[in-house]
Amino acid sequence: MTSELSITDRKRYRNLMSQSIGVGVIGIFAATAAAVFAPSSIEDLFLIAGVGSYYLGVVGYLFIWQRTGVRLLDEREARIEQKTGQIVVSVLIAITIFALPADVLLDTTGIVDVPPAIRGVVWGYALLLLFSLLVYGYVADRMQ
Amino acid sequence: MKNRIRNYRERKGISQGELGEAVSVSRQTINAIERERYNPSLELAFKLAAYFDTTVEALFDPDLSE
Repeated sequence: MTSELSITDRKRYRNLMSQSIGVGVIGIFAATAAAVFAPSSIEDLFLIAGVGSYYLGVVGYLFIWQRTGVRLLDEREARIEQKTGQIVVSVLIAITIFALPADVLLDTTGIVDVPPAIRGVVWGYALLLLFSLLVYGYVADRMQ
Repeated sequence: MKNRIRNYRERKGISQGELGEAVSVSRQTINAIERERYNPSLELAFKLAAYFDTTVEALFDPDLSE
């Protein structure tokens, strides 16, 4: 069985978590805006404070989530997330299967110069796929 | 899967949100179940049946010929 918090509590905690992130994001935007008008001697301080505010917002979000045990998603939302992940991994697999050998072939033969940005995307997706397979193995191992 | 959640809910005079709150899911999930766009887990099916003081079979009608 999963968390039995009432949906009212779940909403309240989720609101608090959103507010925490919101304050962090507003903080970084406000500090960035202030840095534009601040004297150059203290400009960096505003930027550091802004990023610090953002990190604090994220930490607040994670803190509330961990301390309250609030379940962020109900079962349908979790299923949506699972399905989304499956589609994304399918796309990564398709790109890796077709684009990676093509990139190696084109690079070796020199028929066409593949732009570095496209090569970066192809290899980045392949690494992301590798990472997701490793995570899959880890999760599967824990569920055995 | 066909179900009679809407009938039971309306007979009880509660909203989708209230039913969702009672069984710890969102209003959208109740709506998706009523519209037969989403089949609930066994756990949620039993929760719904317990809430309406009936059986899972009375709430859900799986078309096994499909």
